[in-house]
Amino acid sequence: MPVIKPVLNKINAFDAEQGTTLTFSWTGPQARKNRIVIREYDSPHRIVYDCTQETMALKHVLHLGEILESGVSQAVPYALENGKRYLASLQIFDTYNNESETSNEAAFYCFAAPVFRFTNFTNVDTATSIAKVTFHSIYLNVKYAQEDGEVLSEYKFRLYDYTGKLLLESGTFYGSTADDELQYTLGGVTDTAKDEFGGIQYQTCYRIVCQGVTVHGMNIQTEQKFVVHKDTGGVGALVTAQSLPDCTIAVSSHFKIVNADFSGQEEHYLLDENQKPYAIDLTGGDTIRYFEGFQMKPPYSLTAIGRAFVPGEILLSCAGPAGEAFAVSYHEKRYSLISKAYFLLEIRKGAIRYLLRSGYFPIQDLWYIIHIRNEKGFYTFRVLPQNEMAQEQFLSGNNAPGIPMCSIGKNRTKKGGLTA
Amino acid sequence: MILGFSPMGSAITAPVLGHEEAVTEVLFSNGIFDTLYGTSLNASIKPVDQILPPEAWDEATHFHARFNGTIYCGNADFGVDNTTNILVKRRKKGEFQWFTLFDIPAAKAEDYTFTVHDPYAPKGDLEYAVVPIINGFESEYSITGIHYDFQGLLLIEKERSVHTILDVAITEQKNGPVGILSTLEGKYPFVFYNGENDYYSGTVSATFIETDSQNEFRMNRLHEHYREVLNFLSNKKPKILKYEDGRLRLISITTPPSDSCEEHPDKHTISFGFTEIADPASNEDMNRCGFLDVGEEWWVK
Repeated sequence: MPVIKPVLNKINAFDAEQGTTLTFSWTGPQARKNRIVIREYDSPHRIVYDCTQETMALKHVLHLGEILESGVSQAVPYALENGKRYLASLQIFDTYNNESETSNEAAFYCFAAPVFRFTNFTNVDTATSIAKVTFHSIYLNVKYAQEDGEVLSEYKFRLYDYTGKLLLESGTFYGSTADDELQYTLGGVTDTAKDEFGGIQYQTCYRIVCQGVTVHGMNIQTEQKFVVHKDTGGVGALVTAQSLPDCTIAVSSHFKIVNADFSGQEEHYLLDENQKPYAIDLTGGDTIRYFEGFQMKPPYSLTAIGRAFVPGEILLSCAGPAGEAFAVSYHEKRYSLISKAYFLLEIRKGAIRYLLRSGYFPIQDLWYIIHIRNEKGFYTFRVLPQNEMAQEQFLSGNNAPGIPMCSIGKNRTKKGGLTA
Repeated sequence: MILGFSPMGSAITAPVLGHEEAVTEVLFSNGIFDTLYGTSLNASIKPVDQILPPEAWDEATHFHARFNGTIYCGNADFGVDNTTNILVKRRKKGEFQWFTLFDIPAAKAEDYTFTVHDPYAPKGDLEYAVVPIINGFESEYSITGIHYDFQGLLLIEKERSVHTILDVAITEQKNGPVGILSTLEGKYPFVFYNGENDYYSGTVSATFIETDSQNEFRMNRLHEHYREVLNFLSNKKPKILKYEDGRLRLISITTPPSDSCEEHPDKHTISFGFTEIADPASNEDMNRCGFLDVGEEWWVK
């Protein structure tokens, strides 16, 4: 009859304070009990664990406690320590309490559980443990540190959606030290309107998991749920792709980056009911200048929407490289019986100067649309108050049909608060 | 001189003074402003008599300031100063992972308007993204989609490619590590699968005739083009093989090209053998084989 020895499977490193489960294979009669003996590798005479467990399963849960549970007989209590190497061996007892030969000796290490956590999710909701991210790309930093010097062997990142569907699995990265800063970038945060197929979308919850294994087989994992919140502003660059006859694809980017210069103390914005800024207050004499990055050649049009203009002052001025310029100013005339407001467009070139005056408006705190057009050799100047009548004019065909009213209606009739 | 005035809401006009000049600077103050919008008037892009600014940017838009917390008036919420690079990425529609195609240094405003060509695109529905790198971090992705299709066979290097739709025949096989060990006593051998090799190899034959920009065959330089194709296939450089059925391989020519002429002196069939050497969907492989010049920090791993 051939000799049957149980085979103790490979034992990955584990934290001595947490213990582990040892597995083995056995092709003899049905096992009823198994005995694990663990010795120190460097002092083989010192047995640190000797425990017999009654179970038919081919596994042995290292018994950490001093109180013996049913089916457990402990000859030497658990005395494993982190930072040490050990040798384990196994014996099987069958139904008739026949003792098998001693298995192979499997060497293993005990190490303290490493520090393994995401470090740059700083804005975490304590109730839900969901982090808030506002960047367009998510930069993942993971801290790995193991006090016994156990080196991280390899790691990878997995991204799941809220339902647990795997969206992304990174390649395998390799560690090098016992104190490492791991990095990975989740790119491609997009607007749901633009990108309905895949991509990290705003206001959606995701779960990122980083899994690693140390050189001695210790499995580690950390995870974090997060939601990406959209910043104000954003990029609305035009990107076009076109298939060409030479079988290539031409990808064109039309970014418009215009240099802006604010002169004043501080930018003051008006807030809507959701406390979001929607207009800037320059009534205190602050100025904004746009320069570089655009060259508006005729035919062109310029539209400004504003209110609370300062009487007698220039609201808007435009200039070209050779000196031709135009400016829009706001004026009020107050008489005893009637008061009226109007706008002037002044076009200058050298000593020549044209003035175009708008119609008269009652002096009210209304939003005005100031529209200047340079087309077919003429400047056209139009000012419209954004009140009910003006809306009616827009919609009745005075202008192009189907003009989107877009954001002009937004809070225009309500008074917004100022924010610093 | 006062040329005129307008009744409420109607327009008044004045002639342009001499030479028409571009506006390059706008300055405004002394009011509360919600919007400032400048656009060229181009009827092919949008209605020219539109007064209210549309929500979306288009090719005619010069600036559009909304003052929703910033004074930026371009179509990106960043300035030139803090942007170092622009990445162009591609992925198949519906997939999650992007593939970085180009890494374009950006120093001045003009650098942000560009066109690049992607000859390595696979067939199907694709998405391209343009991504500014601001202070070393990726900013928002601006994405566009395209359905890409082509006919015939393409062999592509970084600077050139050859294309044909004539008599294309491809035979290929998948290779892996298999070892068969016969034993003295047993009826059956042992089979071993040692190693991770997993690649295609095969042969291609086709008639390569050049086409012009109108996709007409250039019959006046047939033989010159045959020689060019033979030189192209013999230059020892890695190539991308793309076929109309969707196959996409990064290959080396491992059997020298042969040129046969059987039916007509002007109709040559060129054949060669190839071996797949890397993954065209891997940023690292495409850079290592010289197809792309993307900085390693932007490789998708």
